[in-house]
Amino acid sequence: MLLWALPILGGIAFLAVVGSLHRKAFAREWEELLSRSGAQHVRRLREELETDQVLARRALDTARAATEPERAGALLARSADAVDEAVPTRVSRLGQMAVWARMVAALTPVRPVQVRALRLALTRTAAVAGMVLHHLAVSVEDRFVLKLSTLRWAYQALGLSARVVARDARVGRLAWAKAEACVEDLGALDGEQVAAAEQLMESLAATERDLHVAEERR
Amino acid sequence: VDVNAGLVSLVGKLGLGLALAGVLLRGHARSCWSFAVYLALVLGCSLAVAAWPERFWTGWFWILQQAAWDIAKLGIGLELLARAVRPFPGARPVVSVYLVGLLVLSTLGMIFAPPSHPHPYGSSVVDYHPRVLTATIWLMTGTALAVVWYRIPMESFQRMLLFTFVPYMVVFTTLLNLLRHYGFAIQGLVDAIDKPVYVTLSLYWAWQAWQPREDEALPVLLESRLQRAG
Repeated sequence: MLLWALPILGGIAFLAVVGSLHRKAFAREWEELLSRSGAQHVRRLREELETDQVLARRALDTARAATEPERAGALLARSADAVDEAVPTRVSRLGQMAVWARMVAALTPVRPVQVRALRLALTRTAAVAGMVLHHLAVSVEDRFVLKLSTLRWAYQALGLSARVVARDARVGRLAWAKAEACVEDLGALDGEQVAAAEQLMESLAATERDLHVAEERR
Repeated sequence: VDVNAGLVSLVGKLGLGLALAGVLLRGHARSCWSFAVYLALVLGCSLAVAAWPERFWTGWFWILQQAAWDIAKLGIGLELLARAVRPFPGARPVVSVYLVGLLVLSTLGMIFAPPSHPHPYGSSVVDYHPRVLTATIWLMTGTALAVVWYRIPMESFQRMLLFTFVPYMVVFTTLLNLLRHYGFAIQGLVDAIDKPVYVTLSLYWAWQAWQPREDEALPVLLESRLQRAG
């Protein structure tokens, strides 16, 4: 049975991956990754992430200051919506970073996502799961990819919590503490994402020098 | 039927000869030397059998040539894998673990799985030959996986070799498994499927081998980065 199945399974596995074998696309990805200016990329990322945090925080603070319960509820829901809407771009960006991480040959030591900085039960659970797996992972690359996955899980958990807060706020149940925790966790997770991007770029620290070398060779 | 079989065989040899000449003259051998060795072995053995059938149309020679071709195919798989990951220091340890695991499992499979045929020729055809081919399929699949996982820009000619060898070996191994299951009574059917497929493949290799070799150097930034990584 095994003699029948193994070659066929091998063929199926081959077909599953061979569609993605594109020399030109891979060469382009390497060019893109290596020609990025590390510091500039991290700065732009931080700015993008902070914009969403500021929006969520401002809506939350305005909601707190509102005197009418209905207006407070609407603003609280807007704050939670801002958190929820910020999640998809972060998740897809982490997916791209996971690809880069695989492409990077050598990475600096990786620390897991810090549980202490998180307040929501769901995001803490994701971070704890990531920390346990972190200690089981063997290579630096595995740990880095795992960290990105943990961040993705935590962001998704955050989105879930934020949706609950928004739904409750719309029917008059104002979960102030939970909304506060959502905004704080968004900040904490964004901090971790920036740190991960910095780490990725650190491993490409000589990019600027490479650029000069490449230009000279051209 | 004999005339048709003779014609198929002749076209096959022509395809292999053209492929070998193209691989050597167009410089594709630099992408995979084992492929040139494989073509030379297959062509040499086929010509020997055609020229001196009374001497080489025998069971022992069949076993010998199949063993040589299997080793050459395994060599192609190993060379493609080595060429793909050689410049990438981070990929090498992971690939080595896969390779060692595959070789250990294949060797254990060869040693401990009992032969299903009493005669050495039969056992070679239906037992050992499919096992070596299965190991080669998984070796090439592992190469494709590593290339996609680490985004390794593999040369087009090497990619073509993976594209052609793996599906052919899956078909051929399945045919050999059918032979083991139903006995040598269906050998005619197996030959009727395998030979035209292999001839088509050899013609395709010939066509590919005569395509000009493109300059497929690694991106400059990647190359300089890899040089620094050692």
